[in-house]
Amino acid sequence: MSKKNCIAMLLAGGQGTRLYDLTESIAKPAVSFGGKYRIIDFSLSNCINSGIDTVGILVQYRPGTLTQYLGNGEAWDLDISNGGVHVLSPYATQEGGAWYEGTADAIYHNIEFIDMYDPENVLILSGDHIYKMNYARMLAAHEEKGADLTVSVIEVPWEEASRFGIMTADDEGRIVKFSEKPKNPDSNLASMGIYIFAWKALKKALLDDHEDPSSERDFGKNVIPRMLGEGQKLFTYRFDGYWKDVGTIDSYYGSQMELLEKDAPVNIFERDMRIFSNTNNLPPSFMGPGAKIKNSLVCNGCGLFAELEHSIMGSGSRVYDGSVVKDSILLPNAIVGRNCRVTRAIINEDIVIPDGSVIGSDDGEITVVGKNFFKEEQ
Amino acid sequence: MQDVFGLIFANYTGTDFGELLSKRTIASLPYAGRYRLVDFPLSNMVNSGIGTVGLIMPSNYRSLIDHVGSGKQWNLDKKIGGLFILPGTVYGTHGTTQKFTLSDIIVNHRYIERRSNQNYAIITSASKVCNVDYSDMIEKHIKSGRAVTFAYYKADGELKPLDTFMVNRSVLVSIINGYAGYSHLDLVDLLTKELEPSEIGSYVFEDYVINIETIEDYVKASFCLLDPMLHKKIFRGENSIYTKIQDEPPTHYSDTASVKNSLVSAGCIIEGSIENCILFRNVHVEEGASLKNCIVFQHGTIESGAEITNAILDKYVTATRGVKLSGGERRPLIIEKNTVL
Repeated sequence: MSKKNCIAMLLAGGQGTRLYDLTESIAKPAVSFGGKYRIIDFSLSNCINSGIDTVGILVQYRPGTLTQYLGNGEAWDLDISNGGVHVLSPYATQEGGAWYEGTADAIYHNIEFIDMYDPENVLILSGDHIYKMNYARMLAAHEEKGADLTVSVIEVPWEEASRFGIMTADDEGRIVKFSEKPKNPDSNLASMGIYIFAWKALKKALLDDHEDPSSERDFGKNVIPRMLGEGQKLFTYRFDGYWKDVGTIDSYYGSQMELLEKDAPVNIFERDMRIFSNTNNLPPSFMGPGAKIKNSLVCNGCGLFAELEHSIMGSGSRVYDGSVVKDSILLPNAIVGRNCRVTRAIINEDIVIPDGSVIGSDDGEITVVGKNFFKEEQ
Repeated sequence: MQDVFGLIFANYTGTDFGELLSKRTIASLPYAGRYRLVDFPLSNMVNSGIGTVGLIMPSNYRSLIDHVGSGKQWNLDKKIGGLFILPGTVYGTHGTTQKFTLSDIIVNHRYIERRSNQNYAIITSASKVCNVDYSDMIEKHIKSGRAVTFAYYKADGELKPLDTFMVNRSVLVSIINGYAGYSHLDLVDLLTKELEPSEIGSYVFEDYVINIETIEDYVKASFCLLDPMLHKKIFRGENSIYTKIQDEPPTHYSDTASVKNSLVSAGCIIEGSIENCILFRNVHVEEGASLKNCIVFQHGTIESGAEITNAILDKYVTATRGVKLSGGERRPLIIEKNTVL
């Protein structure tokens, strides 16, 4: 392998427990988003749009759909001979095997993989954020400062700061303090979970961390505080675009509904910083004679024979005669039968809503219909 | 894999299509919102277990080669077999409507001889829209021991040729060698003339088939897809029709959109009203614009207040504010690529 200036390692092993039924059988990064995308599309597209052509993808929880979706990386132009997408699963050695214990542990177990590319820098990403970001600018800032670690940060409202990992920086942007979910925050710059490490510094930190039995093997809790304590050069990089962690039903729902706004904060229509997806071969959507549609997104392969308002129809989903779907998200291949009322609901992939069902309501929590929904009702 | 290689003749044109075919061939004619006609023979071959397909190119090959690429979308980018781009002859450039011109196969005789690990060929054109599986025909042809089997389909109570036939490679090679000097001849005519009637079989497909020879056929073939039953027969059968992947975002419908009985591809923005339309990707229908019985190819823009009925808008056509146009139901207006109305 020839040497790379920067490769990315994308942490995609999380379970996403707060998405409940949506992650019952697939990993969070593989959860459908915006009709035809999956959450991981945003990070992967950002990589290729930033000129990063080598991405190690660390999988662990329910990797089936995710690895199938990734394929050889072709959908993101990441099917190249010297680099591209590499799925990195936990593995066994002659000494035995173990699951990845934490974010830092996952990278620790792939030191050999990273060394293969002998990079100057390693970009660490999560596969569960919705945003468009040019990592090349962050990398340029990182190199200009000669930093050991650059943490991408975003300004959050002061009252929410105690929910995040908060970075306190001096006038130069050098991090002087890091506090995980502080009760009394002295800064409102939240870590976005996007790091660029100088590989030499990261490798040393990982090896040191591995020797520490009390460590939870986590970047935020262990590795970054350790590097800070050692007086290494840690800098912030301010990002002022749209960034959303879609780890809860509310944020997952809200972030998709924002796509329907006139000037959507993440523009999926613009051609630069385009979001790519491993898309399908479905025919154009069929809008029947009885279709009535307002402010909605519809993908290829859909069939609409009823009323749809302020909703998203995922690839191959269908809504049959006499139904009304409002403020809802149909994931790919979800089917709403005849004469149903679906309001403020998320219908998981491949779910069939029987004729005449009434799902969700105008107020209260978002209704999530997964494969256990109808079982529980009975 | 079948003991069959495929050959698709694309070096011919249609009548009456006007500007639609001035820069492209029948095989690359856009269809049904995201396809081109060549997708049907290619997908049918692949869905029938044929892994080696030769595509005989027209002289104006740009749009066709751009579309098929390496054959990846049809799983034809392979080490064993795959898609072979074969040059066509000069006859195609003269606007011939003869589909199976012998010379197109003669110039490619080396390719045909080399496919010696396959004993049969299925030869087809790009003028028939259908979702069929050749497997049964293949089996019956091989069992019959005949030299050639011509395929037919049922329409309007009669049998019509499907422009598809299966022939033994040895027969094909001997015809090529025997007629090397008579290159303008039609391969189907020759096979019928050269072979004894007992060597010629027929096979009837029960599937729904749409024939596209003229602009009227094309209009009929397009709008018939607005019947959900027919649409299902072509696109939602057991096998998929594959095409080039574009990866467009979903289509956005605004609060002011009104949509009836239409096929709409991904990446469109619909703010106006459309009825009985087929829209390709990236079409923008602005608020207050109206389209009825129209086919709009990719990147069309219909500005606010424009009203268009019975028209085919080629790629990158813009209908500016207030334009009102309508064509005939059977003879729609055809608006040339890049036109600003």
